[in-house]
Amino acid sequence: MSEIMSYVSAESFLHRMPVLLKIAAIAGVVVASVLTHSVVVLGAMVLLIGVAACGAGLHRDLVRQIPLLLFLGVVLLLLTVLTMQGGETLFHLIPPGIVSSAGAIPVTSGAVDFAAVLSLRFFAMLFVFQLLIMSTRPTELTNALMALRMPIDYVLMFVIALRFIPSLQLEGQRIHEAQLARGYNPGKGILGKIRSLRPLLVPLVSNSLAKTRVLGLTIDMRGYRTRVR
Amino acid sequence: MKSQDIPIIGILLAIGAIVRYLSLMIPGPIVSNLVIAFYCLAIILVIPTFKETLGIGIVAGIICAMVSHSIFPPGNLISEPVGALVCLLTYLLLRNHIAVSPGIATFLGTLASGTTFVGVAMLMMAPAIASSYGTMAAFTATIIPIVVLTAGANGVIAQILFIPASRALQHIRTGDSASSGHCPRSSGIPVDDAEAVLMARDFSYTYEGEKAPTVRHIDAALRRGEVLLITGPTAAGKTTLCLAFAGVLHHESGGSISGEMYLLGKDFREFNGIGEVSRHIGMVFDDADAQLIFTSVEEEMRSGLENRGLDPATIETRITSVMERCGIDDLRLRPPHTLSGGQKQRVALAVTLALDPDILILDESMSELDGAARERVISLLGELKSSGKTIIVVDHSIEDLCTIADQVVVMDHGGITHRGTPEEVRRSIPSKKEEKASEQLPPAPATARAPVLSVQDLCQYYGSMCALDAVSFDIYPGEFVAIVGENGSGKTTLVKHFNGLLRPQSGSVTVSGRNANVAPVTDLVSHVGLVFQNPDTMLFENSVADEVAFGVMNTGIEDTSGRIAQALALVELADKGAVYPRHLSRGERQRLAVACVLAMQPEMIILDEPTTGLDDGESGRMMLLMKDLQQRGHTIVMVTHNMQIVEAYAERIIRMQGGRIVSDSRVRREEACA
Repeated sequence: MSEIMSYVSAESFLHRMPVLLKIAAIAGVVVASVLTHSVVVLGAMVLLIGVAACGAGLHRDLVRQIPLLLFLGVVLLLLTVLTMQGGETLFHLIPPGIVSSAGAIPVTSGAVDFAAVLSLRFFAMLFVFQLLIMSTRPTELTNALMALRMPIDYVLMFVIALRFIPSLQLEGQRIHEAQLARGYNPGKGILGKIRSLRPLLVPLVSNSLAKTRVLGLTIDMRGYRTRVR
Repeated sequence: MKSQDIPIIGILLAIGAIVRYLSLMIPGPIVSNLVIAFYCLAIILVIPTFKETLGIGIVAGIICAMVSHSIFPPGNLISEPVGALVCLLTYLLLRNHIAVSPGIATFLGTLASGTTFVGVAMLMMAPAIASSYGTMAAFTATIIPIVVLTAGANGVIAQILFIPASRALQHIRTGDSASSGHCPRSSGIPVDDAEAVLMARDFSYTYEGEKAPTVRHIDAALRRGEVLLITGPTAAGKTTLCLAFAGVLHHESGGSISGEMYLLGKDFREFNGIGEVSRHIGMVFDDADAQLIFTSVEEEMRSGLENRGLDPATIETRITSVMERCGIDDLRLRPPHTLSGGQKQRVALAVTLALDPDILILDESMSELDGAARERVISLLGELKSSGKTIIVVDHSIEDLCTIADQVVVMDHGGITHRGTPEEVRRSIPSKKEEKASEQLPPAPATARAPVLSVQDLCQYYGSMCALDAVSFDIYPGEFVAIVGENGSGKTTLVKHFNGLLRPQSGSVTVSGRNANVAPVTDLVSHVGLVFQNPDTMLFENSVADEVAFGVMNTGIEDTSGRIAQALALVELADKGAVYPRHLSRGERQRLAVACVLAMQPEMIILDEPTTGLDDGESGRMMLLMKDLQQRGHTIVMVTHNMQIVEAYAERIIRMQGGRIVSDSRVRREEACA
């Protein structure tokens, strides 16, 4: 249920850290990871982020990302091996003697290095963002957006989206049950799947849009848009 | 951007996030981003300016970065504004030329967003090794097909949703319109009252695009400290009148006004927008959920007060005292989705009270309160009245409100039909008390026959909470059973086991000889028809007939048209087959929901709270339909907390409390009443 928004309620140093500082730290990590080409530096950064996650007790959620990241790493490695060569040849993907005597598709140290740099870079950025999202209450993020001078209309848009995600998920479950009670069964194939979204999405969209008039009036009556900041 | 546009965009982003999350179940490093379909749909519905579109794109980018396990979260912050702009541009160019312009605009928007995302990711990689173009090309080549596929899917989704979404928005602008009918012009009211804080003189209002006025010839005057009750059937124009008193019609809606309306002796038109009016007037709407904007009760209260520029200390004391008075101090940190309907209504009231308006308007905002909570709110209203607040209350039942009321107004067809003090009005309207059911007692159940439903030692847990505790009973063919009990007593949980939506953790459920513990839902639903509380949770087709056909076709039956016609005739909607379902009245939609399960010809029909949201006339009609179906051989099971209808119609009453059956009695209506 609560998994869409990955906020994890806890008391840790990351939770207590001011949001703006966290955002600055993210910017730092992004810039640093783009600028460096060193596997060691990137590795150290990922390690540091991992240590911070452990310190905050959020490591379990990061660990859950690892299969995905490993998959990504393997794909990147394959891509680099297939498309670039550099440095010394470590071994051949197809051993010598099968296709040609020297072996085909050489795996070079340059390719492995590059794949490692790319993977670690993604790891660092993904982890650091994940940590921000997990350790920051949505409302704190809202306040940070206000502090960053985001206009109130967009802040409200953001808040309303956050507030309605869990409510509409519940509503979605109710709609799903109501359609199941009418013998609904999802279609097959991509087009079938998309078409079978209709009985679920049309009521969800229609019902929730029907709330927007009162929501709009509430915004006006409480004076959010006319507030002096 | 209009104020309503903000929640339109916010809500669609929320739905996008949910759909996106669900699509994450399909593993893969780069999952298609379905959020794009929903912000594109929002842009198409709202048509913002280019600058606003950029802003929307940035908000969408933040949401994408938050909910999707994007490989490169900062990329979304750049790619979504680009996608949003491309979508707007395409739509503006095509909207008057091609019917599928929403789909095309979304397709191109997604394409633009996706390629930008890839491009930004590339840029971030580029400084690494200069000679890596090959890798980048391969990387791009891998991602582009995914982007194109996503764009196709998003285009189809946006196109599918565009028409129902624009219909929904169209409908709420005129949703309250009263049916036309004869209405006497009211007269003889002292409307030129110099002391009146709120005054209407021959006020009429017609919604944009409507021919007949929704409220007409309203005269009213309300002094400081007075309480006005407004009652009447559904679509009588009560909500529209409330909106008029709150200044909304003068400042937010586009319809036409005749007559005058004054607040504190000043014409509503002279106020500087709804913002200034609402310094004097606070309105609580019937849909409490739509009045909660923030992610916790406390913020909801705090934000409104901060807008008024109060100092933190005052805000704190006011929040605490109002929450106490409304009995919600224990809900302070709760997010809105964890609150019950009644709790939401109390929070919405508290938020409005905290703003301390001189005039308070409650539009059916007590409908979901239980007896004790309602009493508490009424006594609170009494206190507010004696402290000089002026209050308008709209409610279906006014009996218990009469103690605090000074004036009562009965509306029908947009006009005032009766008015006076509570006593005068009570005398002038014939008592609404329904005749007690005079039918003869039904025969004792034929226990010799096999039960249509048999429940044995059924247990169900939600986590550690026991929702159903060893429930056992049988229901026999042709019975009319009511399952009653407080909220949370396990009624709805129980009936969900009858068609396989929930499976017993222990015990057994047998339906028409089938083991409902294991039988597939698709099989069970043609024996047990479950009609959910709110018909709007299921209506999605373009016509009433198609809506009924959905269930019939799901059961694989050939003769759909015959069944559809039969079901629609039974619920008296035979002439509405071609109508868009959501344009039906609330009572008609409820009957359509019944037709939808009826067409699947189940032996047993279960109705969850069949009369919620219906006025007395519609409720009666609904119950007569149930009686009719019973006589046609269906077994009827009704879950409700409305003891009036139980008393009048049910032949057997199963009472639940804390997940257990505490009584099971046949036609002992006196006991059920207690």
